[in-house]
Amino acid sequence: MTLWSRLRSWSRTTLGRSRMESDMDTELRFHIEAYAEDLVRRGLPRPEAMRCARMEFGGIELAKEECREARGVSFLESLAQDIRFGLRMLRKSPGFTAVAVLTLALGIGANTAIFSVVDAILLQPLPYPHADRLAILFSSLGNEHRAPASGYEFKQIQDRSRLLEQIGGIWVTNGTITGTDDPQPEPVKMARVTIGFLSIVCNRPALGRLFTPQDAAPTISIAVVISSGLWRRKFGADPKIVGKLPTLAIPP
Amino acid sequence: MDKPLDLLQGTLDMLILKAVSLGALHGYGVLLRIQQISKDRLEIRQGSLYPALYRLEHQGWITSEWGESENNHKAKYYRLTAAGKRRLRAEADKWNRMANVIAGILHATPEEV
Repeated sequence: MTLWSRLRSWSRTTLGRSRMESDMDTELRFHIEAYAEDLVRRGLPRPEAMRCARMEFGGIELAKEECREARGVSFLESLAQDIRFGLRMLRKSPGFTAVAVLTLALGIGANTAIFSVVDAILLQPLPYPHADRLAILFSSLGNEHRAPASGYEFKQIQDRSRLLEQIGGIWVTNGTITGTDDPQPEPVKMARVTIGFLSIVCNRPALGRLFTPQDAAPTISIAVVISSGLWRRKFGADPKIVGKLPTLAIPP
Repeated sequence: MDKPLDLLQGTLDMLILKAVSLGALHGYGVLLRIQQISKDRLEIRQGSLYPALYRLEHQGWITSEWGESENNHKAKYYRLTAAGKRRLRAEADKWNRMANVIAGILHATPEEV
């Protein structure tokens, strides 16, 4: 088939829809009438001949439908037909519709949930400055690949690594803290960190200061940075807390 | 007279091309001509004739234009196009080869095998 005839036929179908319908009507009616006239010539009474001609032709509507298809129904038209048919079928069987909608809802819901987790954990950058340049180092000990590093080990890495700009150490533990606002001791996740650790993951604290080399001096025994949540919960968001040491219980 | 044969699948298009190759015809005329040439030995469902004509026109093998019938009715006349002529030749050639092969097989005798 040439592209031209295909295009012409298609555009005629799309643009001249009503014209094509009436043409088709005229053509089929002519056929039936011509056949009926032949039957009349052979001696049949006219009404009988018309009835006979119609019967022998078979389903006119079916033939018309096949003609429309043969001519190439336009894409939009068949799409609209399909959608209408789909909606009609859905209305006809509400049970199936409910199951289908529920299945879709569950599927979409589960996907959304999984995606939000994946997005938060894997796709979104960490909420730290220079998140793309952060790395975690673990030390390994025997079969344990996430063993705590010793202070000596940390110092060696810090002094000898030329790969990393800044290195901070963190040793996480559990302890309890007692606030001024709420006298109940609360078990919290706490960590011992090296001087430089917090400045890697935090530009500046909301109140007070991060650790400085003075904090490492032997005379000063302990300095604490607490989270904003803890500050609100246990200390009533008191700004004057800066410089005071809270009551801590830290395992040795 | 023998009972008319049903058309073999896929042969209607070829017969229509042949019928209109002998001169422009309206749909009913195509039917009459095929019946006349076949001496009424072929049964063509009238309803299937028009979808075939529309299909052939869509494919560009035939074209149509409106004209006057013998008894002054408005009728649509179909003519073979150049592409249709080539198509008819190819189809007829294929059909003849196929018929020869099938006939050869059906005439085979035990000595030939």
